[in-house]
Amino acid sequence: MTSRPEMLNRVTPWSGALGLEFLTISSDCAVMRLPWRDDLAAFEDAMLLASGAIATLIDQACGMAVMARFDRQVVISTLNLKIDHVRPAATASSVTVEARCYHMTRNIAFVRADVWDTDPGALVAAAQGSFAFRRHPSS
Amino acid sequence: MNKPFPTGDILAHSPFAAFLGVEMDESDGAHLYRLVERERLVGNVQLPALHGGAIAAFLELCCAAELARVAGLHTPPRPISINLQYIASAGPVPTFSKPQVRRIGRRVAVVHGEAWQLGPDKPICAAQCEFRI
Repeated sequence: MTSRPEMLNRVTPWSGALGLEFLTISSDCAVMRLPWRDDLAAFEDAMLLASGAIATLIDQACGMAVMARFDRQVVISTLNLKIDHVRPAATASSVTVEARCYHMTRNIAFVRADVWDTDPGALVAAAQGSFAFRRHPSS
Repeated sequence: MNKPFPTGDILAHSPFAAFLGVEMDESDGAHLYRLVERERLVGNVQLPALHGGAIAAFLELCCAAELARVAGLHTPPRPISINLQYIASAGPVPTFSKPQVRRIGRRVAVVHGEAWQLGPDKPICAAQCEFRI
């Protein structure tokens, strides 16, 4: 059986390219990490993760939080996503996201996500989005 | 503190922009931003479709670059919020955008951008961004 982290890198090359790491997953919640890397810096001489890389971390974790609700494969597409960049992350710091799918209808899932660098109580970004899902053709 | 860079030259000074693969073409005074087709940008290999995060990153980067160009900024604008609406699935082909700076205030600027692949009348994603300047 394929473990979930392996599945993630196989199914989403862009998450693999950024080096996203899977930390934990529960019935409605996914925790993932984006490790610091020089080529993900927003600008030269500023050791700050690009906000676009953080957007990918958020989108991916939200998708995983929706997937966590199912025991079969589903195809998930983002309908909308709003990201607030509350404050810059610490210099050369990794960031962690916790995404929670707090409500689901027949076809739509609603997700909130918090992003922090060192302290889960001091957010660098917060996000909210809605996602459409449908049964995977092969399941 | 960031080093100042030439006006509008954000993309050339962003390691992440190079990793993502964002380019700008300037012709007849118009600025067209392009996300180069790369296998690594895919989010769903079965469809296949670009990753929503890659599209978000592209739109935010070109909105910031266009703002820096239009406002003559010498330091990168800092994103406050980005609001994304995904309109259609994006295939593994080049993606384009021509962002519009809607307002430049004293501290905050508002930029809208749409991304398309087959033509500007067939958008795949729209972004509303606010930046601190």
